[in-house]
Amino acid sequence: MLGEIPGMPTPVADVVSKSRFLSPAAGGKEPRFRNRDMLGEIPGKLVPVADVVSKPRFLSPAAGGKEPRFRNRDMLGEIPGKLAPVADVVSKPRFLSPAAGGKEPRFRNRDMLGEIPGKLAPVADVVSKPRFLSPAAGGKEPRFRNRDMLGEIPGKLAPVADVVSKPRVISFTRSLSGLASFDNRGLDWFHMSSDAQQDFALAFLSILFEGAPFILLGTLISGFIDIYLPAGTMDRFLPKNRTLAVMVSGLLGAVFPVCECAVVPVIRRLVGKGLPVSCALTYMLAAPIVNPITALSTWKAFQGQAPWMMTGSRMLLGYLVAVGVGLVVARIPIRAILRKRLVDRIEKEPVVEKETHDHSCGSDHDHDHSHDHDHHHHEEPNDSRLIAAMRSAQKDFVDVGVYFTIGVAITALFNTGIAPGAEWLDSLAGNPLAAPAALMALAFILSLCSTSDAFIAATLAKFTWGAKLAFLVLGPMLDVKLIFLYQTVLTKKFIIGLSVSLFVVIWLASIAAQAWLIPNL
Amino acid sequence: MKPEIRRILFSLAVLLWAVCLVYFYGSGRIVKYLAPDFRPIALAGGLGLAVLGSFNLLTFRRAASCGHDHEEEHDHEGGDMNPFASLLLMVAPVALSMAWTTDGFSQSTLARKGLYDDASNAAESPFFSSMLPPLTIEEIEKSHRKTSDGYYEFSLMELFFATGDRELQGLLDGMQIETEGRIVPEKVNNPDGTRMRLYRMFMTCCVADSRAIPIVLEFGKNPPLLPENGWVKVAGTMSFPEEEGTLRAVLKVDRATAAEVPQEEKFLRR
Repeated sequence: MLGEIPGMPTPVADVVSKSRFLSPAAGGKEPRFRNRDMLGEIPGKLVPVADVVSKPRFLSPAAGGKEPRFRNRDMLGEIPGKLAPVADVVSKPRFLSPAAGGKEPRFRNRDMLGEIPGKLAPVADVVSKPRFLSPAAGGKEPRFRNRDMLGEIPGKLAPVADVVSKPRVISFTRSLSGLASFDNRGLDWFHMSSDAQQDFALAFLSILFEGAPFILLGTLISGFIDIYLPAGTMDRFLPKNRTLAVMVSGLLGAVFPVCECAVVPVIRRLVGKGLPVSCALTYMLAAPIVNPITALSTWKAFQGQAPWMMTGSRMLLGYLVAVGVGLVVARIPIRAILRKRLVDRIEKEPVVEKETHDHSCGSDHDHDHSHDHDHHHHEEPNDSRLIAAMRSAQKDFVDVGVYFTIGVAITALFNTGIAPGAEWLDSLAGNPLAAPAALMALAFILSLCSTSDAFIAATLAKFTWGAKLAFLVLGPMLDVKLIFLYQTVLTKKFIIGLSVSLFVVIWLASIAAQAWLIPNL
Repeated sequence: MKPEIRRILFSLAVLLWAVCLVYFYGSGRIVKYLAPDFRPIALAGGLGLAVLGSFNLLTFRRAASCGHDHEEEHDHEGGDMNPFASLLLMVAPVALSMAWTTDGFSQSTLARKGLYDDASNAAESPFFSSMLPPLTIEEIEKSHRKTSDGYYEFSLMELFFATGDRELQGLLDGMQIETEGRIVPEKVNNPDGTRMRLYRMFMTCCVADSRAIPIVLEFGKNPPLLPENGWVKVAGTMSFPEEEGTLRAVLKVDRATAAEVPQEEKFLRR
C-alpha cells in the first residue's frame, strides 16, 4: 500500500488495514517500514506530512509503541540538505497521551496538515492527540474508513494517500476544523492539497463544460463567416450615419443572440470582414445583455424583486454603456484598438463593397473608398471551401480556447476559495458606494454566463438592487475570462482603458439608479 | 511550422475536449457538474468538437481554398500563439482536472458556499420565497406525502427557506417531518456535541455557482455513527429557535438512517 506514488488509485485490498495501527498489545503489528520507502515516494519528491504523521508514531510507548526513530527532515518530506525550522520537526511527546507522560502538542503549524509549509494554522486545525493513541492507550478507532469521507464516487478507487490520512488525521467531529483557513490553501499548483485539487478540478470542469459549447458555436459561425461571407456584407446592413450605425449595432443582439463567450470570435471575424470597429465593439458589449434569452432569464430570476424593473434597467444600462463605448471608439485610431495582426489583415483585405456606399464610421474607415484592388470571390469546389471553413473554425476555437482555459482556471481558483476574497465582499454589502463595486468585483471574478448570472444575482440578498444591477451589467462586458478572450482582438492598452471605463461608468450609473430610481429596493 | 503539423496539433486539442465532454456525459458524471438544461448542450458541444477535430484531422493534408482571390498570400489558419503552447495550455489543465476531480467539493469549499451560513439571510430572497408551498396547513398536508410512521416528507429547501417566512414557520413549527440530505458535523453553537448539520447543494447552472442549503439536526445526545458527508434520511420534529440573534431551522431527530444517493443529488433551479 505504501510503495505507490501518491495520487494513484489503489485496489481496495491494498488499503491500510485497521490492525496495522493498533498497538501490538491490542493485536496490531509493528510498522515494518519506517524509512521514506514506506511513503511511496519518488526520490526527490516531497511527501505529504499526513503520511508521515500517521505511521509509527501512533503508538504510545506505554502501549508498546516505539520511540520515533526518525526525527530528521526526511520525516517531514523536505528537501535533503535544507535546514528545517525547529517547529517542523516532529517531537515524540506530541504522540503520547498525557497519562503516558506526553505533553500537549507544542507545534501546531500547518505542515502537520499537509498544507503550505511555513504558514501558521489556526489552533483548531491541529490534529488532536487522542486520535493518535492506540485503543489500548485510550485512543479511539477511526470510525469512518469508507469512501464517503473522501467525497468520492461510490465504486471508484481512492488515492491511497487520501484513505490513509483522513480518518486518522481528521476526526469525525472535527473534520471541519480547518474551515476558517480555506483562504490560505496553497496556490502553488504543484503543492496544492488534495482538497484544493479536487475543488479546483470540479469548478474548472463545470465552467468549462458550460462554456465550451457556446465557444464552439461562436467559432463555427466565425469560421464560416470567414470563408463564405463576402467582405463588407455586415457593413451594408448598418445605417450610413455613424451614430445611427453604432446605435443599431447595440440592438443586433436581439436578432443574433449570443453570450459573451461566443460573441468574441464572431466579432473578431466580423471586424476582419470590414464591420467598423466601433460597431463591432458595441455589438460585442451589448449582445450578451440585450438579447431575448438574457432578458427572459433575468425576468425569471428576479420574480418577486421587481423583475420588470431589473430586466428593463439591465437592458437599458447595458445598451447605453455599449453605445457610449462605440461612439468613443469611433474617434480612436484603429491601431490603438485592434491587435496588430488583425489590423494587418484588415489592411491586406480592403473591402470591395465599401466602394458602393459612403457610410461614415469615423476613423474605422478613414479612406476615400476609391482605390482599386483585386479582391473578389472565384469559383471553388464546395468541399474545398468547407475544409477551409472548418480549419478556420478550428483555429478560432483553439485561439479562443486557450484564453478561455486560462480565464476559467483563474475563476475556479477564486470560486473555490483557493484564492482569497469572499469575506471581504460580504463585509461591504451594506455600504451604498462599496456594495456595487464589491459585486462588480465578484462578477469580474466569477465570469458567469450572461444567460445565467441573474440566478446568482437574485440570491445575493444582502446587497442592494443597485449593486445587483452593477453585477448584471458589468459581468457580461468584463470578467476574468473575457479579459483573456479580448486579447484575441484588442490591444492590451485598450483593454485596460476599456476595463477602467466600464467599471467607473457602471459603478456610477448603478449608484445613481439606486438613489433615484428605486431607493427602497 | 508546417500547416499540416499545426492542423494535427489543433485537432488533437479539440478532440481531447470532445472526449472530455462526451465521456462525462456518457458516464453520467455530468450530473455532478451541470444543471439538466446544460447537459444536452454539453453533449452537443462534445459531439460538435468531435466532428470538428475529426474532420480536420482526416483532411489535414487536403488542399483547400477560401475562394478569395488575393494579390497577397493570406492565412486563415495562422494562430496567435505557438501551436505547441496552444496545445499544452488547452490540454494540461483539462487533463489535470480530469485526474484530480472527485466530482465533489471538499468541506472547506462547502463552507465557503454557505454550509454554515445563517439560513435566514439567504431565505430573505423573494426568488426563493416564490418557490415555497402555499401557506395553509391543508395545502401542506396535501402536497407532502406522509410516511407510515406519521412524518411528512419535506425537501430540505422548504425547511431551510422557512426561516425567512414567519407564516410558514408557524405551520411547520412542531410538525413531524422527514427529509434527506448529506450529514456533516455541526460547528456552530454546538457546545454539547449533540448536533449535526444536514445539507444539499442548490445549483443554478453549473456546480461552480452552487451553494449549500443546510439545516441543523439536534439529537439530544451523542449523534449516531453515520458516514460523514453520506446521504441520510432523518425524521423528527421541526422547530425554529432563535439562537445568537438568528433564527435557525432545527430538526429534533427521532430517527436517522443511511439513505440511497438520490438520482439528482442537487436542488435545481426548476
